[in-house]
Order: sequence, then C-alpha cells, then structure tokens
Amino acid sequence: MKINKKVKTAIYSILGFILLLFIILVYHIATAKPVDNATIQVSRIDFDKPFDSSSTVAIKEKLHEIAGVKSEIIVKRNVVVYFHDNRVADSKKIYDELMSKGNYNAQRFILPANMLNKQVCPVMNKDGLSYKFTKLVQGIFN
Amino acid sequence: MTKFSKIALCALVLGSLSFTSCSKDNQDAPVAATPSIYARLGGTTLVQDPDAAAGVMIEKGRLSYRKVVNSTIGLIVADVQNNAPGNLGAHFAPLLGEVGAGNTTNLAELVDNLTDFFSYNTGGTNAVNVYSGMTMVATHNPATNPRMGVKATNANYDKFEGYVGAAAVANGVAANTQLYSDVVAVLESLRAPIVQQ
Repeated sequence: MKINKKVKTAIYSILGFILLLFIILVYHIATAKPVDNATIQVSRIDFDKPFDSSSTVAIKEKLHEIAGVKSEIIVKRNVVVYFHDNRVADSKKIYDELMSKGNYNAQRFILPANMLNKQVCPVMNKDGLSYKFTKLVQGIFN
Repeated sequence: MTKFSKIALCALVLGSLSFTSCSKDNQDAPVAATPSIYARLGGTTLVQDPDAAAGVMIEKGRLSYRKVVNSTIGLIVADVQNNAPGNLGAHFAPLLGEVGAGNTTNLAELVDNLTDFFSYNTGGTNAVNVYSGMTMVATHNPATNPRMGVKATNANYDKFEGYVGAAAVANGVAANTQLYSDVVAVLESLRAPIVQQ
C-alpha cells in the first residue's frame, strides 16, 4: 500500500538519523582526549610552625614516600599543599600516615563552610547509563 | 660585433658580477628564529610522566607546563584563608570544596585545560595539546561559566601572574631570563579577555 510505503520511508529516515547521531556520538567519545591524572586531588595540611629549607626537604621526602602522592608538593610558610591520586589514598589517610612519620602538630585543612558558597557542577552518576556507556566506548578505543 | 660593443658587453657582465657579489656581501646574516616557548621548555621530547605508571610518556614541554600549573594552583590553595580578600579564594575555593567531597574531575580538567591552552598557544601544536575548552572571555564570565565564582579584577590578575611567576621560578625558569619574560608577555596578552570588571 502507498501509505505503508510512506510510513516505512519515514521510519527508515528517523532510524537512519538516529543511527547517524549515534555514530557521531561514538566517534566523539572514542576520539576524546583522555584527561591527564583524571583522579587527581589537591589537599592541604596546616602545621603549627613555618618550614625552613631543611625541614621543607624533609617533609617533601616523607610525603613522597606515601603511596598515591604526586610529584608536586608546595610548601609555603607553615602550609603544605600536595596532589594525590584519590583512588590510592584520600587526604585523611595521607594525613594520618604523615603524622605517624614524625612528631608534628598539624591539622588537615577543611574548607570553611562560608567559602563553599559557590555551587559547582554535580559529580557524574557512576551508576548511570550514560556514564557506563561512555566508559565502555572509551575503554574499547583507549 | 664592433669593438665598442664587445667592450660594452664585457663591462656589463663584469658590472653584473660585481653588483651581484656586492649584493651578497651586503645581505644580513640569517638570524636564527627564537624557538617557541614550548620548545624552550623541553618541546616534544618524550619523557616518563612522573605522575603516571612506568612507561607512560609525556612531551617535556607539556610536563613543564603541567608542573607550573600544578604549582600555581598549589600556591593559591596554600593562601586560601577565611575572610581574607585578594588571595583568589573566591575563585579557587570551590576546587577545594569539591575535592573535599570526593569529586576530583573538575580539578583534573582545570589542570588539563590550562596545560593544553598554554602548550598549544606557545608552540606545542601536537594533538595531545589541542585545547577544547571555552574561550577566555566565556571561561572567565560567571554568566557563561558557573564555575567562575566572581569576575576577575586587574588586582586579581596581578596576583595570579605573581603566582604563575613564583610557580615558574620554583620549576626552574629563572626570573631574569628571556623565557620568563616571554611567559609573562603571554600572560599579559590574556589580561584583556580575562579581566572583566
């Protein structure tokens, strides 16, 4: 029938369009440049007294011994800022391990509530279909 | 050919040779072009990425920029204090807040985007450095980028340049070098689109 033919054409057109979009989506995901150190986290520990040059070297060495701590460690006055892989160790674990390596009086820096006034993008839901699909396609191509 | 014609022809040939050689003598010696900032920071030479698994390589120029970016962020984070205006806390505090909540993606993306941007625009044009973020104007406008806490002022930008300078020095770029001046010039070229109040 003539109507059936038109309906078929319309359905094929829509399916073709969806397929085209899907191919473009897969292409974009597959060719997306992976982010360097995607699970990097920055953390800070405030000590009770400032570091001099020798104690700076010592604290950096001790931090570098802890698994997950990255190469850049910034020591400024009495503050140590470091980057770490949060899959390996979170900031509390690193803080605890560092404190066990010496007789330090220090506190893990927690951002005051009033500085958290800016809303940021929500974290991607790892149980979501889009996240799983993205990981699957990136896993195939990377 | 008459005798006069022969003499004239000889004079013309000799004259041409003479002018040609004079012309060569007067040419300026070719000046070697200054390598790009990216090249001077190590360029495309592949080295082990110190923050990745063994065997994962990274271009030395890109690694240099990433180290400076990380150090800059680290120095800013070290200065974040409660009720202390002017230390860029309003711009960077969200990073600390969200990483405290376990979300690290945005920090990684910030580092990656900044590294891409500086690498690509200073001579590191390989695919690994292609910048795919927003324009500088859109990035620094809270209306188009909700992650930008407030618009930046000239004073904010001066402070930021100071942090980058200190980070560069900490990573081996001495302040009295041409390389340092060139990096500052790149930063200054970005002042207009970034400072929006």
